[in-house]
Amino acid sequence: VRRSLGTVLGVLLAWWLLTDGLHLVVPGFLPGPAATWAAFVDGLRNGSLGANVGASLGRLLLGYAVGSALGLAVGVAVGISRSVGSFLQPLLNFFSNLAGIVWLPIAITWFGLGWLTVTFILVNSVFFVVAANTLTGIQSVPLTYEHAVAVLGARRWRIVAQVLIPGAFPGILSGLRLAMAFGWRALIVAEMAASAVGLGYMVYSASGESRPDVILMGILLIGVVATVLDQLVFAPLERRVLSRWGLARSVLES
Amino acid sequence: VTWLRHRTALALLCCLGAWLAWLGWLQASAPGRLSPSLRSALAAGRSVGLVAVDLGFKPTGFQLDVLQRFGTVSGVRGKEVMLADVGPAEMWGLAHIFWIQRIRRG
Repeated sequence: VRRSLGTVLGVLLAWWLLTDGLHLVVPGFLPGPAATWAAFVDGLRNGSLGANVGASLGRLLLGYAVGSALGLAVGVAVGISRSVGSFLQPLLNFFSNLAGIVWLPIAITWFGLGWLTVTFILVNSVFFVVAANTLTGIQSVPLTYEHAVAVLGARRWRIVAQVLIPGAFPGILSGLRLAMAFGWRALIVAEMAASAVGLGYMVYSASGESRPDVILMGILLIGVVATVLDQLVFAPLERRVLSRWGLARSVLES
Repeated sequence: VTWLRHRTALALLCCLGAWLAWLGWLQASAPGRLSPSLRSALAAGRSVGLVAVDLGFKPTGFQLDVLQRFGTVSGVRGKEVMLADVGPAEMWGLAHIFWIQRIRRG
């Protein structure tokens, strides 16, 4: 934390020197920390910032919940059969490697400009990453574990619930963490193109109003929200799951 | 009760408390945003016609979009937005918006 704080302070100081301090860059090109902070306070006071952040977070929560639930279900269902899993894995990998945002033009054609397009892009971005990582996680469980439990008389569902899914937890969690980052980025870009509210819309519309202070404030806020979500929710969860079901402590701490 | 001592549970409870406090403040401060004549008109169930919504800052597209949901935006005078066709329920809704400073007859 101390190292991160030092980095943030260093960047802030360099930014201030470039702009307000030594005036090396004109404010129209890169606003200083004071103007950016003023845009943040203005946004809080006039209600627009709260509404935009709330809209983006609400969409993220809904789209992430739907996309990750579907991705988990499909990943587990496909992974139960090794042959079906091997057959479908290249397909899931292909779609998870495609950035969700490439679907935007076709989504606009299908659903028009609005919340349905934004939700589709978000769910799409989350679903394939979670499904592919869940499948990889299940496939990484050694076959001998399954056989050993089967020899002891366990039924198939019990093998799935007590061997495959717990064994796949590290992979599932990596998928969930990655999907949050992918989904957040896709959501912001989708909001720029197909929405009238949200952080993406706020940044994009500020460009039309020649407000670089609002743009910069929006960009920083997008980064802060993503970092907070990752560090407060996923990093501790992943540490706990990996230390219970997964890798050695030395790897976790590296 | 032991789970309440967990850090995550405490953080969630703090968030919930802050949210409830915020809602309470909005509820308590709402009547103060209405001018006395508007308050008495609303109490008597009389129609109020045109109202002037003072924001304390120059309105942008965001504020006009929001206000349009409560009535018909009929103009902007400096930091005030003129709003027509506002019913009693909408008036109370307006009074619960934190970025509005004052609402009076237009």
